[in-house]
Amino acid sequence: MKCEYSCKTAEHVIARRAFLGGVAGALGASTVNFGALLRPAQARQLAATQKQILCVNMAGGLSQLESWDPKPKTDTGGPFCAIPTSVPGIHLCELLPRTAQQMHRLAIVRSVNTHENDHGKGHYMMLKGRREQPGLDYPTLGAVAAKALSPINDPLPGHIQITPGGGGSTSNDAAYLGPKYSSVVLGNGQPPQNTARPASVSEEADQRRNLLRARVNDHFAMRRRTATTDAYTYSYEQAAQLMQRRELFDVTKEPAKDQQRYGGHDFGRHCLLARRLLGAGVTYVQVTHSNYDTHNENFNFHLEQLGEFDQSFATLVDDLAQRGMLEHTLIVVLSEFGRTPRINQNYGRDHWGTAWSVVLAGAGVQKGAVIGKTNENGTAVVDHQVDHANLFHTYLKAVGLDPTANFDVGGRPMPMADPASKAIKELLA
Amino acid sequence: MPLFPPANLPSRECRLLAAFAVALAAGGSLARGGAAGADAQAAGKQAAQSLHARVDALIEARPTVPLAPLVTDGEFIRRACLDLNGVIPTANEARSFIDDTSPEKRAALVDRLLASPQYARRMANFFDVTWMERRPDKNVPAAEWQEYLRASFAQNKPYDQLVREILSADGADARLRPAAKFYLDRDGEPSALTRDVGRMFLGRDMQCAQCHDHPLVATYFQDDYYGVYAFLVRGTLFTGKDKKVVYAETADGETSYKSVFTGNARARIPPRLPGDTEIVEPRFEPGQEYAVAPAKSVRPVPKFSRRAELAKAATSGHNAAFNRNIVNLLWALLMGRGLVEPVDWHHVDNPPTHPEVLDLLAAEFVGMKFDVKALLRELALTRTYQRSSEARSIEPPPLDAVPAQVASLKAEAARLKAQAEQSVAAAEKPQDDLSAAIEAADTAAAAVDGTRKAAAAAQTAADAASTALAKSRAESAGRREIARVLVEAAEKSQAAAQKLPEDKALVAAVDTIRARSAEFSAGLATLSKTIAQQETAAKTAADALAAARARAAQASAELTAARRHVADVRPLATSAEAKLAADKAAAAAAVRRTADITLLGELAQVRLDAAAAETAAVKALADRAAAQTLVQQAETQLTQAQQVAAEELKASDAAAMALSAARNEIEPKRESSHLVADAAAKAQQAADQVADDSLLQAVTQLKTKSDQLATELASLDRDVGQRSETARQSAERATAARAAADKAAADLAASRRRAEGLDQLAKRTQQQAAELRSAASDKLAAVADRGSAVFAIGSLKPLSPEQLAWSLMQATGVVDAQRAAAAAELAKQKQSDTALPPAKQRIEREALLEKTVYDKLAGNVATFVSVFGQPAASLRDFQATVQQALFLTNGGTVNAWIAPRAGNLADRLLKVSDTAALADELYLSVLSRRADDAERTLVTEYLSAPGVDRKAAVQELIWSLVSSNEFRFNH
Repeated sequence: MKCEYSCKTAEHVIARRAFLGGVAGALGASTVNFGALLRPAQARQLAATQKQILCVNMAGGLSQLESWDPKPKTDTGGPFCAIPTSVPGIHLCELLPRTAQQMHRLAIVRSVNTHENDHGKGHYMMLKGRREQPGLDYPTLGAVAAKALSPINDPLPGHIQITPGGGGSTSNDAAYLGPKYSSVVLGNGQPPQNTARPASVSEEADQRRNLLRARVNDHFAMRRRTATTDAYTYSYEQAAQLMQRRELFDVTKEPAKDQQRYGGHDFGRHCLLARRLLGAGVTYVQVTHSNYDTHNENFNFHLEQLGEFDQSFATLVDDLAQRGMLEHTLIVVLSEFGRTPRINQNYGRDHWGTAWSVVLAGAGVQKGAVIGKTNENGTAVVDHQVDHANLFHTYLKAVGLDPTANFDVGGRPMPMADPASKAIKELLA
Repeated sequence: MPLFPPANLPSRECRLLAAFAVALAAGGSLARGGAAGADAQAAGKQAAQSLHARVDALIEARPTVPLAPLVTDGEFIRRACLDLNGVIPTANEARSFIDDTSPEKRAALVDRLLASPQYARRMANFFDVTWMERRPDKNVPAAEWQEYLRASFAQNKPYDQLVREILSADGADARLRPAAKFYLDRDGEPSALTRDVGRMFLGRDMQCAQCHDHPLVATYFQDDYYGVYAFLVRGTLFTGKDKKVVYAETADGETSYKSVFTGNARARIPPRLPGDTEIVEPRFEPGQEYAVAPAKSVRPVPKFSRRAELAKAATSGHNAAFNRNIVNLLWALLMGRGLVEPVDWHHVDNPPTHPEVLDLLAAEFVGMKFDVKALLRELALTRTYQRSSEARSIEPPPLDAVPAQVASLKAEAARLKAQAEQSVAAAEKPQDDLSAAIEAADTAAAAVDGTRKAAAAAQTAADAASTALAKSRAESAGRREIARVLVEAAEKSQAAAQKLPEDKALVAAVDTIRARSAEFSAGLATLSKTIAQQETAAKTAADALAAARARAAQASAELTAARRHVADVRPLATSAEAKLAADKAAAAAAVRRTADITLLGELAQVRLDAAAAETAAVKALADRAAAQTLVQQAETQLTQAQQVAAEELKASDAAAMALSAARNEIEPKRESSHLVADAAAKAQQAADQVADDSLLQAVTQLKTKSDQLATELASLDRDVGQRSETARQSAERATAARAAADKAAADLAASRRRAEGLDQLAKRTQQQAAELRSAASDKLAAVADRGSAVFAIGSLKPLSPEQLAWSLMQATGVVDAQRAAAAAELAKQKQSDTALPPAKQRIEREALLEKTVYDKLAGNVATFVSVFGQPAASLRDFQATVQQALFLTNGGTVNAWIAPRAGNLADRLLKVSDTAALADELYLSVLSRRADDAERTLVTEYLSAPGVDRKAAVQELIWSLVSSNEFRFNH
């Protein structure tokens, strides 16, 4: 069922965001005084031109043969059939029936060859767009997006990871871009650390002490003001705003019927949370679905895992499209690599970086497209071979960035993407 | 010693200093005679000065941004404690330092801090982060490495020795195993090590020179990168039987490169540090290269370790890059930024702000045998270190003086730029000569390789020939013996056969033996021939070997000559580069000065504009107020006029009514009067005819009556006349009053319009004033940043995660509590060794206490490092994240420290009833200074607000101070 407020236009989406902002403000109504400390910039609306990214990380290595590039009735094809999709001529594995109905919104790259069969290295390459190099670390796609796409002084974290478990901590995945752009990890969808006021400090006390802090800072600003003192002062304003908007991380505030539509399982909740966060204007959200490392019983595991994925992912794609968000949101579904066409003795498939698939959708990319091709039984790329670096360039270009541009890191230029590579032109809208 | 060429120094003083430094470096006495003698005399005077005074003289020589005043005592103790001990002072330390009246107290404080066990802890932390950059542990536990560093700084190990240990440690020697962390935790990987050796020990990040000469930095050559790489290329990790990972080196492994841009290539690059000459390696005969030869599960040890040479070459005191890098790092540690900034970006186009200071410090540091503590002491005693970070006092020059200054600086900059360009051109030939020499040396080295290979082949051939000859000779000797025996046997058997002629078997045997003997003789003859041939061959081979050896020796000699040539021309290239660097630095300084003065001019202008706008705003406000007063007056006047008009109108109406009433009254009387007068006239007529008394009487009566009436009428007429006049006048007055009221209304409208206009103007001018105020504040901040960049104004240094954690624990009383507990425990344990002198006992006790407190609280520090630590690449780019603010706002750690607990800050404050005293204690504890009057008032008001919960309020006060900018930064 469609929501009443959605008539698929961008204006309504903006209005809805403003409304959400208003709700948060109303909840913080008793903090009026403290709110007065905040600069007006916080009440921003998502600029029409602001791009966002949703990345779905199929951890462990999704089998392209059981998903995006089925090879039924071949020696490597396995037991599943291929089914038609909403785009005539394009077939997906039968494990993705709902996703198949979203095919007209997706673009599949079936010709990825990363020459890498190691989990850690593959993960690094796919998320950072470069091969690991001794002595120099690179920022992840999320950190790059947060730095390059987020509005200045955005109170929301620009880079959020929703992981199946763990988390709660910050990570160093922003490398030289610095901790400001590191991911905030929501382990199993839990809110970030320290966003709740401790019981020992009353709301009034918190307001009072923050007002005092502002007075102490004003005093110091008379003596010396620098970009760093301004940044430190502002971090507290951001903290206050994030505390006010803590419900943003509470997926149970979404309608019950939506929770049902996404599936009752963790991955469904995480996808719904991703929708909520993107709707609130978070620049980059990454959801991890685990675990596809199916050396044993590949087919049973994919049957089970993709059952979850198909429902939640197809619903999310549809929702984003219905809400007009897909226009400015890039979706990427990636793994560290694919899985071998050869089926091993344990009915498993092993690591395979030689010929596998990545899916894109939304902002800046072709709709209902397939780029590249593998051979008859999927053992080699036969057309339009690309790698992690080409894909990384493409993601950035799709969201309107110039991947050949440099970041300025302490006065030194750092290329946003591997300067030796380039985007996949055919994939871009 | 590389010293700044005197000709390029910006001032006479600098030249003198440099002359002095040159003389010192040359190890000789000062120059004598003539002008040089006078210079030297002046220099001699300077020489009497301490290093810190000389540094100040150079820094203060030509300031563009006005020098800030020196810091207050409170600021000084906070700054020095943070920089040298990594933690803010306690309230008591701050109080007694501020109240101390000794003029030498700052130097005394610096000495106390340098002697403290916390000094070693702080330096260990600084160098740990500098060299390991918060990498996760791999092969050497961080605790062991940090303890190694701490112990090194505690004993004030000379920096060269420390680095030598680190750069030559292999992890096999248990004593120095922690020092091997630098190599082992980088997996011994040559690229990673080359980059980090460059960045951390030589001050140059040559990463981009790995694949080609650096595209942005003219002097980062691929050749330099691979020169360092060649020291490290033979290294690898080795896992011993005990599973311990150590560093191992082989005796082979060469380095070559090819530029991806130009295609220039070089093979077998010899190890060399940037700016230095190549290391010449001894040659070993094949198989003789190892002290411990490589084998399965055996760690090889080459006889010649390139890596050991790296340690030696870097720390020799002669490598300018190494010396400058460390003094720049220590300078940055105290001053907040390097003379070269970024600190790993030393190159000609990023010159030091004060090249003379960098060179002076580098030379002096080597002269003081790399004594870190001594250098830090000198730096801490400079006025430069004591400059306030406040921007408030900055006064720009008079505006009208700026254009002339800018013009003259621009001219100077243009001149210096031209000079630098000349140096660039002049540096080309020596550079080309060097390249050619290197190429020739490479060719010669290749020739050596070739001739050595040929000699080895000739040796093999000669060996083979003599082996073959020896073999043939041996064989010949063997066969000769057999032949001799066979001849003998033939003779003896012949004799026997003659005695037994019918024994056929015997005769046959004799034949056989004879045949065999003949065969052997023939064989021997052949062998002899072969031997003769082989003898010739062996001689030929020996001759060839001798010739090959001679060629090899010749090639070696040529290589030596070629290398000597390289060594001869390299200094020319190096000094041309130094001259170029100096000229570029001077030009850059002139450009910077121009920019500084321009900026100061802008500040002066914006301040003038702001002041004018302020005046205009004040005037506009006054005008608006005056206009508003006028409006009020006009309003009053209007009201009054309207009142008057109304009254006059009323009066006029009354007069008119009175007139009309009087007129109404008069008419009947006039009629009666006429009737009576008629009647009287008629009665007179009748009386005249009749003459009747009664008639006469009546006539008289009527006349009387008529007269009476006439009189009355006349009186009434007069009355009406009067009333009519009154009414007329009244009507006139009313009209006039009306007119006056209308005018007052018009006046009011006019003054209102005017007031409205002035209100708009006031608002506009106020906004302009506010905008200009903010522009002036931004401009001042920009000027202050420039001032900090040239050390005229102190920098703001964000506290490191460790400084923040320790300072928070110090301020809130967590450290005190641990220290008290540790002291109590110590007292319980045992009396200290009374054999030791008391001073020594105190030192030991202090060290023990420090260690106990550190161990107890290290966990808390780790928490802060995880929240506030930044990854290596972003370390010097301060970022404040929302997670950090949330941690300080809501995190359990800090809120628990702030909550009252026996003896801690909140508890102490709650026991102070006088709020002014409480404010002082609070500010001394957290901000290391007393509260000022406004702050005392603030605290007092905060605590005496109605219904205040004092316990909560004290915690709020503490929190607001520890979360403030003043606490977060070292200023």
